[in-house]
Amino acid sequence: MKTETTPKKENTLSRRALINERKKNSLFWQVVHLLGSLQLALILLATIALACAIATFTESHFDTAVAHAAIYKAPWFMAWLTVLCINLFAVTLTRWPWEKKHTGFIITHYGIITLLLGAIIGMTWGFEGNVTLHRGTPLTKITTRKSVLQIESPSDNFLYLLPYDATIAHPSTKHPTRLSVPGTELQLIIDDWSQHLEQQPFLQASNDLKAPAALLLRLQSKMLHQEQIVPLTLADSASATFDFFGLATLQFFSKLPASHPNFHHESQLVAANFAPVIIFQDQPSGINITLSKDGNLVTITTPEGTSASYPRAALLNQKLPLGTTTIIVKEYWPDFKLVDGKPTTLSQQPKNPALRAEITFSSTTIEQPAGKTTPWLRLALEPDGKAIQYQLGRGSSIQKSGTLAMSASMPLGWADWECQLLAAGPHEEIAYSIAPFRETTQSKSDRSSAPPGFRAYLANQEHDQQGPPQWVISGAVTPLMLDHQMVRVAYGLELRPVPFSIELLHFEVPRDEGTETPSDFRATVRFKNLKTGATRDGLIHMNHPASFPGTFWANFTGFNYKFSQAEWNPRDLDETTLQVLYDPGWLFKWIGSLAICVGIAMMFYWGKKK
Amino acid sequence: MKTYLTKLTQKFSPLLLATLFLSTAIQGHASLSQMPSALEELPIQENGRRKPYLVFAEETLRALSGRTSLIVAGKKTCATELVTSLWLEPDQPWATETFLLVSYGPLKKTLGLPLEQKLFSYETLRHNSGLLTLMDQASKARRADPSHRLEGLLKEAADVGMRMALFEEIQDGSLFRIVPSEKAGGRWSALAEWEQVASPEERQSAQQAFLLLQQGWTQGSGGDFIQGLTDLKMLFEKIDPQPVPHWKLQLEIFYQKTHPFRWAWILYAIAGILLLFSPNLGKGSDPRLSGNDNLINTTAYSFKRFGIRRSAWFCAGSGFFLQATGLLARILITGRPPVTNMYEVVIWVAFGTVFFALLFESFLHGGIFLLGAIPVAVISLILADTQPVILNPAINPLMPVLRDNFWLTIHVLTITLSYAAFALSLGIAHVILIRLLLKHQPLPILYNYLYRTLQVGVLLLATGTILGGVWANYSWGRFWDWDPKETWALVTLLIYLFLLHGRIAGRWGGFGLTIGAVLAFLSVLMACYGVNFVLGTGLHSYGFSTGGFPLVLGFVGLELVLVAATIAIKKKEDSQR
Repeated sequence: MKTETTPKKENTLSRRALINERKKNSLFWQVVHLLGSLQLALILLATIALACAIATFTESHFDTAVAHAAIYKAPWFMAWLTVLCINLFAVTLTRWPWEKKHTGFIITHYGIITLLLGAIIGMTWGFEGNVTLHRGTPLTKITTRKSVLQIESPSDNFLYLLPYDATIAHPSTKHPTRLSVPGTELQLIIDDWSQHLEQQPFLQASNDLKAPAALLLRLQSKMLHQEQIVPLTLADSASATFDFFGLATLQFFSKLPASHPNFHHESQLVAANFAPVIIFQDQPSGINITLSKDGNLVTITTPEGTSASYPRAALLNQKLPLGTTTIIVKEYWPDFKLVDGKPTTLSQQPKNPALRAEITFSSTTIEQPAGKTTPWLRLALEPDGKAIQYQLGRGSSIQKSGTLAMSASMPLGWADWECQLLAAGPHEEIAYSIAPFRETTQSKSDRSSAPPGFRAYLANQEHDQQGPPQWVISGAVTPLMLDHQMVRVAYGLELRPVPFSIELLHFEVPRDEGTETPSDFRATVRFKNLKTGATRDGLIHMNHPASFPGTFWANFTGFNYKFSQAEWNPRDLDETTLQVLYDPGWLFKWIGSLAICVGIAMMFYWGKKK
Repeated sequence: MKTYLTKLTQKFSPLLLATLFLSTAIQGHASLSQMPSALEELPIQENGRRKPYLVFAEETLRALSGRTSLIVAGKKTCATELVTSLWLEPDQPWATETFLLVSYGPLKKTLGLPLEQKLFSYETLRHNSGLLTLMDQASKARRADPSHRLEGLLKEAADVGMRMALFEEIQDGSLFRIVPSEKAGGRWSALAEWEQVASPEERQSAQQAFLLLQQGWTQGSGGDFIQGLTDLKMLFEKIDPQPVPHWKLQLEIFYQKTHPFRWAWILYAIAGILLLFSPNLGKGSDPRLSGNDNLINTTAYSFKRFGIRRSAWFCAGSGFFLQATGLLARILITGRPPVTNMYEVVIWVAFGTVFFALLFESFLHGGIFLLGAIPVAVISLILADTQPVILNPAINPLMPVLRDNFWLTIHVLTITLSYAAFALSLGIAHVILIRLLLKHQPLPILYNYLYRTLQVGVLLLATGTILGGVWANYSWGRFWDWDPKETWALVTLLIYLFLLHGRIAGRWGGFGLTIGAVLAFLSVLMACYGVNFVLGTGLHSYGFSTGGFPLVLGFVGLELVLVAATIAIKKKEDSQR
C-alpha cells in the first residue's frame, strides 16, 4: 500500500472534512443530513413497497376504487410521497459541493422528483375521462372519472357543485354524510349507498280521467336468467310500443285490430328414412312432423319451436288440436313403396315406415308491413280493466290469441320467454321506484351496467324535522322534499366541457382472419374548433391516439387532448368509447423518466474503473 | 356442445369388433412408411391464422389429450397420423378410444372416474351425468356474468367440455378448414361446407380427389394419397388470393419438428454437470479468485481439468446457439418479438439469463456466472417443454393492444430481460449459499459479481417500467394508474433498491445481499407469475391463466428453507469465531 496521497485523494479528503465540519456546526446542515439520510430512504422504500403490495391484494379482493381510495390516492400516501421527494432532494444537498462522479446520482434523484412533480401537475391541472361517440353526433363534453354532487339551492336557485363519491365515502345510518344546503337552514343527510341501483316502473291509479290506460308486464327467461319489466301506456305511440331487443315487438292497443281468420289445408307425407313431401295451397303451416325408425312415435314441432311426441296409434284417424291447428294422421305404411305412382306397403315389417298427415290451420291476416316476419305480441285492455286480451303472431299471421288474467303467465314462444301481467288499469300513471339492485332475478352483466347512487333526505335540525328518504341515482335529477321546500339534487360523473367538438365519422373493426375476434379498432373522428370553426380529421386506432389541437408543441408539452381507443360495443358498430387525457404534466414525466434511466446507467457504468 | 346429446352410439358396432377394426386401420396406413410432407405442409386455418397441417395436428392433439403422441391399439401414434385417421376414417369408433384429458384429481373424484387414469373416451364422458351437470352449471355461470373467472371444478369441467366440443368438430370434419376463402383474410371452409357453394365441376373434382386421399390412407397406398392431395392443392391454389409463403410453412414445420429449446436444455444440463466437476470457478485470470476452488472440491482432481471446462463451455455455447436459432425461427413465424405469452416469456428469460452470464464471463472470467445461470435456464426450459397445459406453446393471434412491435420490443423485452438478470443473480446467490452450506471459504469477489448482476436488473427494470408508462400513455391514455402489473413492477424495483441502498448504508454486507437477492426474486415471481395467475385483475389481462400454483408455492417454500438454513449456519459459525 502506498502512503503518499495523490492530489485527487487530497481533494476528496478535504471535501469530506468540510462536510463533517458543517454537519457539526450548522443546524441547517444537520437537518439536511437528517432528511437526506439513508435510514429514512430505507424506511420510505420499504413502506411504499409494502403499501403498494397490500393495495394490489386489496384490489383483487375488493375492487379498484377501494384500493385507490385507501392507499394509492389516500392523503397519507401522498404525504409519504412528498416525504420521499424531500428525502431525494436533501440527499443531493448532503453531497454538496458536487463532483463529477456525482452526475449520475444527481440526475437519477432529480429525475424521480421531476417525475413525481409531473404526476402532481397532471393530477391537479389535467384530467382523465372518457367519451362515448355515436356516428354523426358531435359531442363537446367529456365524462371525467370524478363523481360530483350538484345541489340546487331553493333560496337563490344557484347550482352548487361539490366533489362527492358515495362508493368511497360509504355513508351509513351510523355514519351519515351531512351536507348543508347553501342559503338555507336545511341539511342534506346521506345515510346509505349502493354500487348498483335499478329503476323499477310501477303503475299508480290516477284520479284524472284523461290519464291513459296502462299496463305492466314482466318478461322473463329462466334459461337466460333475464328479466324485464315493461310498462306500456296509450299516451302516445312510442310509449305504447316496446322493442324486445330488436327481435320482437310488443304493442298496446285500445282495441285489438280486427282479424280475419282464414282456414288453410296442408298435406304431409312423412317418412322415417327420407325428407317429407309437403303439399299446401297458399301458405305452409310451418309444422314439422317426424316419424321414428320403428314407425311407432310421431314427433310434432310447431313453428314456435315447441315439440311433443305421440304414439302413432293414438293419432291415426284422431284429430289432434294444437291451438288453432288440427292435425290428423290419415294413413300409415310400415314398408312404404310407390308402385305405379300409388303408395303401398310391401310388408307389415316397419322397414320403411311412412305416414300421411292432414293439417288444417287458421291464419289470421292483419295489416303488417310487407316482408316483415318478426314475431309480435299485441295487447288490449279488457273492458273491466282486470285482464288483457292478446294476440301472438309472426309476420302477418296470428298464431295464438286469448285473454291473460292479472298475475297470470303465458309462454311467448320466443325461446323460453314468458310474459306475466303485473298490473293494468284504464287511467294510470307510470312511476319509477329506485332501489339497490336485487341479485336474485337478473344476470350480473345487467347489474354491472346499473348506475350507482345513494339514499338521502332533508333535515332541519332547528325544527327537528325530517323529509322522506329518497334514492338518488347517478345521472338523474332527484327532488328531495321537506314540508314545502324542495331541493333538487343531481349526482354523477362530472361532465367537462372542452373547447372543441368531436364527431365519429367512421368506425371499423378488422378481424383476425376467419374469426370474429377483433384485430384492431379504427375510428375516424372530426375535431372542430368551437372558436374558429376549423375542422381537422384524425384516425384513432390501437396504440395510435389522435389529439387536439395536435400540433407538434401541443403533443410535446402535453397541453393537448389525447383520444385513445378504450371500449367498443359489439352490437353497435356505429359506437365507440375513447379514453381522453389532458396532461400538462407530461413534459415533466418525460424528462423525469429519461433522467432516471440515464442517471442509473451513469451511476453504474460511467467513469468506473475496473 | 350441440351434438353430444344426439345419439351417436347407435351407429357404432360393439366394442370388441371396434378395437379389431381400429388396429387393422392403423396397421393399414402404417405402410405409408412416413408422413407425406405434402400433407404436413398443407395450410389450414384455425384460431385466426393459417398454419401447416403438422402444427395444426400437434396443437389439436395437445388440446385434446395434453400431449403430441398417443398409444393407439398398442402402437405409438404421432399427432399427424392420429388426427388424419380421425379425419379420413370418421366411421371408425374413435368415440370409444381414450383421447380426452381429464387431469384434475378432485374432478375425477367427483365424477367417479378412476383417479390413476388420465385419458378418457368421448363416450365415457358423454354419459357421465355429473360432468354434464357441472358443464351446464359452468355455462350458466358464464352466461350470468361473462367477466367472471371460473375456478376449481367448474373451470376444469368447462375445459373438459371444450375438449369434447373439439372432438366433435374433428368427428364431423368441420375443424378441417383447408379450402381457402376467395377473399383475402376471409374465413376458410371445410371441404363439405365448400362443396355446397362450389360449381358442379369443382365439386366433382374435389370429391374425386378426396376419395383418392381417403382410399390412399385407408389402404396404405402412398401413390393414391399423394395424388389426391396434389389434386386438392391444385384446386385450392386457384382459389387462394393470398397464399402463405412456402418458406414460412417449411420454417414452421422445421421449428415444430426440431424442438430447439429441448435440445438447448439438454446441452445446458450437460454443461452444468461438467462445470460442477471442473476445477476452477473461473479461468483463473481474475486474480481475486484463489487457486483450485470448485464447487464440489472432492472429485476435482480425478478429471482431466482443462478438457472438462472446455467441453462445458462448448455445450453451453451450443445450447445458447440452438436457443437463439429457435427464438429467431419463432420471431420469423410470428412476426413479433417472442414475449407475448407465458411460454415465450419463460423461454426468453432463460435465454436472457444465459446471455448475461456469457456476457459477464467474457468480461470478468468469473466462472460463477455460467454456473449460476445454467440451473435457472435448465429448470425454465424443462418447465416450458413439459407443461404445455400451463405454458401453452401454440402460436395464436395477439389481442389488438399488443400488436405494436415497437412497444412490445422496447417495453416487454426490457422488462423480461430485467427478470433474466434477476434470475441470474438468484443463480449466483444460490452458488454462494451452497458454498456456505458446504463450508467453503467465503470469496468476497463473488459478492461483487452478485452486485453487478443486480445492477443490470435494476437498470433494466427501471427502464422497462418507465417505458411501460410511456406506452400506456399512448395505448390506454394514461401514464400510470396503479394497475396490478404496473404496481408489482414498481414494488419489485423498490425492493431491489432497498437491497442496494441497505448495502450502501452498511446495514448488510455481502451475505445479506445474497440472502436479499434470493428473497427479492420472490417479488419478481409475483410480478411475473403472481399478478397473472393469482391476482387475476387489471389491464394486463392478456397474460392471465391458471395452473402451476403448487409448483410455484413449492419453489417459494424451498427458497425460504434454503435461506433459513444458511442463516442458521452462518450464525453458528460467527458465534464460534
